[in-house]
Amino acid sequence: MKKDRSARWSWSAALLVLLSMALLNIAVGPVSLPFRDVMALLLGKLTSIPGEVNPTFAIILYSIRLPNMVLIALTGMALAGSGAAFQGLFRNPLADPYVIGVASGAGLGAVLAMAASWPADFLGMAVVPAAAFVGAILTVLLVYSIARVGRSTPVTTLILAGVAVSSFATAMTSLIMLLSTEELHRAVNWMVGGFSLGGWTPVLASIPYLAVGLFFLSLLGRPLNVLQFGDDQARQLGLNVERLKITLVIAASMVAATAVSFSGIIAFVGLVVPHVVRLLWGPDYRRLIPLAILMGGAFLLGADVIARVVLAPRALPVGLVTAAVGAPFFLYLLHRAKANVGFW
Amino acid sequence: MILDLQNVACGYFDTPVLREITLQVLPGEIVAVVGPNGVGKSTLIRAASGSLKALEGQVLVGEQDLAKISAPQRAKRVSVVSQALNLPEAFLAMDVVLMGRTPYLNWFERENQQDREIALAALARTETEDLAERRIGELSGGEQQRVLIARALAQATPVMLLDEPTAHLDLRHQERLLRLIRSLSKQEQLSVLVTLHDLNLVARLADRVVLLSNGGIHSQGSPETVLNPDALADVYGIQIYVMAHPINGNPLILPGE
Repeated sequence: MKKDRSARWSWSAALLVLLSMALLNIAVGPVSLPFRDVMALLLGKLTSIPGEVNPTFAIILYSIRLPNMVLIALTGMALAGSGAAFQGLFRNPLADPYVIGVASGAGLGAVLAMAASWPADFLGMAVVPAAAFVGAILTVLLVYSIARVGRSTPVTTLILAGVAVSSFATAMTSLIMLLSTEELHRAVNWMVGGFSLGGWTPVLASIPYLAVGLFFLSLLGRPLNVLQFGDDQARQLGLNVERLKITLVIAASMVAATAVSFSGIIAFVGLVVPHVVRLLWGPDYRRLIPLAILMGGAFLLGADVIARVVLAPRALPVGLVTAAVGAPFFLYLLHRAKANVGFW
Repeated sequence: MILDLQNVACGYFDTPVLREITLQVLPGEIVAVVGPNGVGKSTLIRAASGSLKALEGQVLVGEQDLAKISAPQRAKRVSVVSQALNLPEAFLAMDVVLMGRTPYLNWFERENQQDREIALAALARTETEDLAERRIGELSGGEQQRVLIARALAQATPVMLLDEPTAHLDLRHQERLLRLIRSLSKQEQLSVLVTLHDLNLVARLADRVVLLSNGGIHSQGSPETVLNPDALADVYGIQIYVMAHPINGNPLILPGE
């Protein structure tokens, strides 16, 4: 029963953290929006009492801050959700879309699509994630087939295969950028994780992919738990292992590819967030995936605030902040894996 | 239901480890599989569960060919108690036992009250109800093994396969596990196929013994007939003495000059 209470508490805690990070993210910027005005505008819209708020605040809020905030939150959710799913799938806590090369593969796919024609409208933007998705799926299949040793996927081979395939994809991406017209120089900014597209269009273009993918991932926690006993036992327990793995790869790659398409390659979110959730609330994937999704949104919103505040008025790419936090964390996890003391 | 292996060949990458395996396990019967290391005992368990497809021959439960049905359908007929190795240590014992309900649930379903009651009954049957809220990583080898048996019971199958259930257990826990397996087989009329290393345990537990050697069955029958010095010396390549247990008369197997 103790377990149930901590479970209920975990949902409210994660939601509360996400909500406060969202409000903080909206309020912080070159023009600082007073918290009272933000609340008045957000609530006022619902009850149609605009109040006596500066009208430029309303424009900044609705056409800049709010869509940027939502896109960042969605990106964090997608990366953390797919990270948690990949960790369960490979039974390896160091798996994350960046480490196993899925992000670079998606990046290559996205850049190929952008090289064909720079996405200006909603439809153009909706095509980029599809290309990124193809890149991501091909990468994960390649890395998995290289990393597999017999019936398991050891940490070392997974990381080595991920690094190798990822470097190759990144090299190809750079080559395409060098050879292409200067339109693609915008893509360089995009690659390091800057949210430069702006407005509501990327949000709307990414929502269908993310909604479907994250919905599936959130609901597959129970069979994913069974998979933690290994393919053989899972099969003997009546799980259709191959079908589950393919479904997970598709859903996790789709959300990761969508995140990469609109926000560039942001490292380690999918690694840090599920791990923290595991430490706080245990390894049960029924809770781990949805909680990682909520906390992933919160984490990236926080990282984005730091990116915009540290060298203000200059804004750093958010990927720099997550890498600065994530890389040491990754090394710490690797050290623990080496010491073989278990992961949760 | 009868577990019926008919002329089965099984192995990896199309190379059979075992050939011409024909054996039956009747309801309420315990059949032990013995043989030297690497002879293919675990492979035989995997093939009998249908998780490793037989290269030749058929594995039948009742009249049903396991190769012709889906993984959930197989898991409603055959449960497997693997060795308690590399378990995901942070799961609660109750959650592990609930995973025995996997074949009865689709991916998106959660366990209902009935599944919970079945899991609790399985914990009670294996005397592990006190461990329900403990993490399996914290449990001793014997406790883990009993939780895995409870998980297999929650699958509610007519056939249960056990792979080296007494490995790494001390004498008291071996004894306790033997008694549990015996009473499950007799009271629930389970067909039990079990691999064991320790021939003295085999002599006391099994109704029948299948002795494996060189990729096939050397001999099968009652413990008294199969566990004879000549056959064992032949298979294990060392001198082995068999005598009667001074108290219960079971065969007692002793290696040595």
